[in-house]
Parts: sequence; C-alpha cells; structure tokens
Amino acid sequence: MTPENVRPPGQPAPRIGQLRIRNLTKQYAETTALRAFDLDVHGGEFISLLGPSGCGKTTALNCVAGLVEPDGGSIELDGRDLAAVPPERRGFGMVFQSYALFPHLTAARNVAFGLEIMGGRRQEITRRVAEALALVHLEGMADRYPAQLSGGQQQRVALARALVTEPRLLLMDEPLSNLDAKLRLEMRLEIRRLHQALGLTTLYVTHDQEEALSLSDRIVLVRAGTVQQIGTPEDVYSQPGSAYVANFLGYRNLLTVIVEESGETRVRVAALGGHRFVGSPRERFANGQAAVAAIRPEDVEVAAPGEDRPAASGEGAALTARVELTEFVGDAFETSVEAGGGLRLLARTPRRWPRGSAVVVRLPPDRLLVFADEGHA
Amino acid sequence: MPEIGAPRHRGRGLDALLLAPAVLAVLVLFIIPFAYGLLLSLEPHGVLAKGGPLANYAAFFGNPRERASIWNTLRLALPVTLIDLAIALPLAYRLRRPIPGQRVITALLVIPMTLGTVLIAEGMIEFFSPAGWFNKIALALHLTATPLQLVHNYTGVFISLLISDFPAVFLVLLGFASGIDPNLERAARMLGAGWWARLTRVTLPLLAPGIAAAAALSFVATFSVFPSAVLVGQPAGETRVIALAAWQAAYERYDYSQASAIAIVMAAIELIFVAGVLVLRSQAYRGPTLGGRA
Repeated sequence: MTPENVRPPGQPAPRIGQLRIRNLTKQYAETTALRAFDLDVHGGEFISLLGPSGCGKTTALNCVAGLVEPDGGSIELDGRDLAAVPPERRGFGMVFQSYALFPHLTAARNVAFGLEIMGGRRQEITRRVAEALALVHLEGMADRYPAQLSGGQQQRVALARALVTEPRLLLMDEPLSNLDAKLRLEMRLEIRRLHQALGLTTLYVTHDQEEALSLSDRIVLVRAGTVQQIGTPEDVYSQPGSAYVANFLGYRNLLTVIVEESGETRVRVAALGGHRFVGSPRERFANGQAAVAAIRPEDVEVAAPGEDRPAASGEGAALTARVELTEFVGDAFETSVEAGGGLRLLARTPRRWPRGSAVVVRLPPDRLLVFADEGHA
Repeated sequence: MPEIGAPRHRGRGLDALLLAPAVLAVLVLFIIPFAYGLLLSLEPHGVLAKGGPLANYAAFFGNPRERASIWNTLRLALPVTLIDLAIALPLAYRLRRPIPGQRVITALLVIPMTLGTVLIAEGMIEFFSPAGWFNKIALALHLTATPLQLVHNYTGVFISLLISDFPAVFLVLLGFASGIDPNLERAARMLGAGWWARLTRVTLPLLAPGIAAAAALSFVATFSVFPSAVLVGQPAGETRVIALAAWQAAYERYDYSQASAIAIVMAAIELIFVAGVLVLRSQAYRGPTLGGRA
C-alpha cells in the first residue's frame, strides 16, 4: 500500500517513510509476550493491532515506544535502528489507555508539557497549545485541571498533548476503552479525522473489532505474541485466515465439526446432533478431520416453515429449529435458535421471533467458512 | 456526600458515633492537658508570683542559658529533618514499585522504629565511643590519628536522631510515592522529558504533599528530643534541649508552672514550623496523584 498515491490534495505529507519491525521477542517471567513479531508500517498509514487482552499487542506498542525493551529482534525507523534510542528521544506521541494526564497541571499546561521540554518562545508555545486545544474542540477548557474534566474531555486533552509536538509516529493504547458508547463513536471519527488532516502515521492498539475495522488502513491480528493475519479491514472481515481471526471479527457462530467430504470449493461437514452443512473450505482437509465452521449471525437465514425460499440461499441444507431467545439490538433482533441435538446458532433477524416458534434455518455455503481446528478460544 | 444506599439521617448518627472515640481521645489526651498547662503557665509560683501572668515566659526568655535551649534543639531538629528527608526521598521513590528484595530492604529501613531511643543510645555508646568498634576500625585504617569523639556531645544526639527519626519519614514518603501513577512518568518520557525534567516537573510536584507531611512529623518528633540528649549527648552544655529545660524546671526545681511555660514555648515553635510547612504545601498541587480519570 502506498499512501502517497491515495493522499487527497491538501493533506500534509507523512513525517516518516517506514517503520520496520522484525522478529521482535519479549519474554516475561512466566509468559511469552512477543515471539517473532514482524510488521511494516508505511508513512501515513493507520494500523491497528487487534487481539484479546494478553495477546501481546500492548507489549508490541510499548516496544515501539521504547518503554519496554525487547529481548530480541529489531525496530528500524527509515533504516535507523531504534534499540539505543530512549523513548524521550524517539519523537513519538503516545495516548495511554488511562490518559495519564498530569493531575497537577491544567489542560493547557498538560498540552504545553512536550513543547516546554523542547524549548522555544513562550508566545509560540501558547499559540500552538491554543491551536491544539482548538483541534480537539476544547477551547474553553484550557484552565481546567484533569479532575475537573469529563472522561471524553480528558481523552481529548491526551490526544492534543500527543499531537502538539508533531510526532513522527502516533501510538495509541486502547484510547477509547474508558469512554461510553456514544463518546466512543464520536472520538473514533475524531481520531480518523485528525489522522487524515495532520498526515499522521498511527499505530493503534485495540481489542474492539468495530474500532479496528472503521479506523484502520490495515489491521494486524495478534495472537499469542505473533502476527496471525494482516490485511485491509475488508480483507480480514470477509476472508479471515483462521477460526481465531474469524472469532474476533464477528463470526459468533463457531461450530465444532467433522469433515465428511472435502473438495476444492466446497466441503461437507457434520456438526453436533448429526446436522450436515456445506461450507467453503479455508484450507485443505482430509475426510474425518476435526474442523471449525464459522458463520456470522447476519449470514444465518431464518424463515418461517412455510416461507422458506431455498432459491435465495442456494444449496445450503435447511434445518428446522426452535427459537430460544430473542434480543432487540436496535436495528435488528438477535435470535438464538436450537436445532436439536444441542446445536445452537445465533442469527440476526429483521423481525422478532416469539420464543418457542419453529423456524427453518439455512447457512449459505459461501458464508460458512471451514477452518482447521486449532483451539480458537 | 452520603454513600449510595445509606439513608442520610442514619448515616449522620453513625458518623457521630464513629467519630466519638477520636474526639474524646483528642479532648482528654490533648486539649484538656494543653489548656491546663497553659493556665498553669500563667500562674507563676514563688519569686515570680509577683511578676504578673507572663512572668514565667519573661524568666525563660530573660535567662540566656534557658533561651539557648531553643537554639540547642533547633540545630538538631532542622538538619536531622532535612537530611532524613534527603535520604528517604530517593529510597522511597526507588522502592515505590515491587522490585526484587523490596520487602527485606523496607523491613531493614523500618527496624530502627522498633528499637526505641534508649536501645539506640546504648548501641551507639558501644559502637561509637572512643574505645568502640568504629574508632578501632578508623584507627586501624589510619583514617584518623586519635579516636573521634562521637558520643556525649552534639554529634551523638545528631546521629541518634538521624537513626530513630528515619523510619517515620521513609514510611510517609513511601506511602505517597507508591500512590503516584507510573504511567505519568512514562507519559512524560514520551513527551521528551529526560530524568531531570521528569523529577522536577512530575515527581516532585506530586510528592510535595508527602514531603510536607514527612517534614512536619519529623520536626515535631526531633524537636521534642529528650532521652538521647541525655544518654548520648552533653545535657549540661550543647545538647541541653528545650525538653530537658522543661524537665529540670519540673523535677529539679519543682516549679510546674515554669515547666508548663517552657512546654508551651516548645509547642508554639512546633506549631509555627508545621504552619509554615502547610503554607508552603498549599502553594503546591494537592489533588489526586493518579493520571486522568480522577
């Protein structure tokens, strides 16, 4: 991906060419935080490290920041090895999960901190602090202390403080996880807007798939300290490379199955209760092999017994099921069905199915992805 | 603000009940004796009885030997407080996060608290006397030609106070230091701050309330020095501290009224110091020491 080609007119050029991470390892007393972690970040990119807590994504970010010293591997910025460069000399900005605002300084003094360290004329600092606060819409809050600001405002101060020094690389560690849902959406847009407007290069750590999908140019799925898959949001969303990745990207139905008949483009599997499905193989299978079949709730088709339209869903076999639970989630309903023999499926349906009603469920073979069973949980 | 779920009126009654023992203790152990002493000091006995209510104070400040006890005490209390703070501050800061051996180190640093001044004084006489181990080693290593006089003078009391006062200062600072969010220092680093900038712009401002509390405690404790001034000091001369002056008035001259006046002077000096520290502290930041989301 070469952002230079897609950069709209008026957007500033990124301040770095490339950050190269190679074979990064980090071992803590009991656990391996990182092993053979590789990643290239190009100037101007927004990259998310996505994974569950404890997968090593924050350790990777801290290694880039210089706050954690890796046991092995290298981090190079435009060809220069950063190993001997302390965090205070790297010129990176960081937004912490807890914001880490200095409680004894006002919002303006928090933002001014980095500029004061760099030195420079008082007037110049005052001007740039005012600009940075305006950038995050906090003009009137300059003289407030962190304790006098709401969570969202503190988050904005933290962002302004990290941006005002014009960092070469912006590092963000779950910056939205302490905000409520509405603010989170608002700040997500804000972060993406600032990234584009300022020509930033951003490395963003999150465990929230929606955040990663909406913000990123590329998503890095991290598992047990290593990179599991890298791709654009569209890629990883529609073509997850493993059951682990699928699980993380909203494939909430993960069925343990046995491969019965394996082919090039289709694979027939048997699930709990003897139910048989046809799915799309994501790797080569031998007959009789244990596998995981994954499908998103929104791809599960639910119809009343009389209204079932096999033509619409193609070749997927229909199975009858009983509605166990329906939850209203705003724009749709999440309906949990039991298909007999303990097989449960979660579907996203446009209508509310009464509890106990009999339905016909279809899993479209194109949308049912079959992965090797490698312990996805 | 009432706790969630606790009815306001019942909470009030409970608060008063829980507060009662503390109020009673302060009243019985502090306010009543203090008021009694103050009144006693204003009713001079003997030859001073004709000099009016302030005759005891006039006698104390009019007598150069008595007056000197203030200076004798200050020149112990002030440097001991400053030096203990200077030693405890970096140690407390270093030990604020779990490091290998932290418990052992902390325990060793707090041991002097359990000894008491008399035991420390006895140990010091053994160790620092002209024939003690310290001088034997110093002589053997040719660090000195003649034995150093380290006890039964100012130096003796100074060393004794330095040891006995340290644990309290250290523990107070440790409490404050471990309450500072470690992410604040990391945030400062990411903003380009080297160790000096982090120390002066983040750590010390956030530690200021702790330093003030430790200084006040330390000064009050050392200003009321008594046993070590006698045991390892020179109680007739340079370590005739103010507590000793009060004791002599009370139990050598049996003039409780004069002794009360001296005790009130002592309390007044301690109060002035504490007030000064609190004023300085109010200039510094006093809020939470955790970053963000306070």
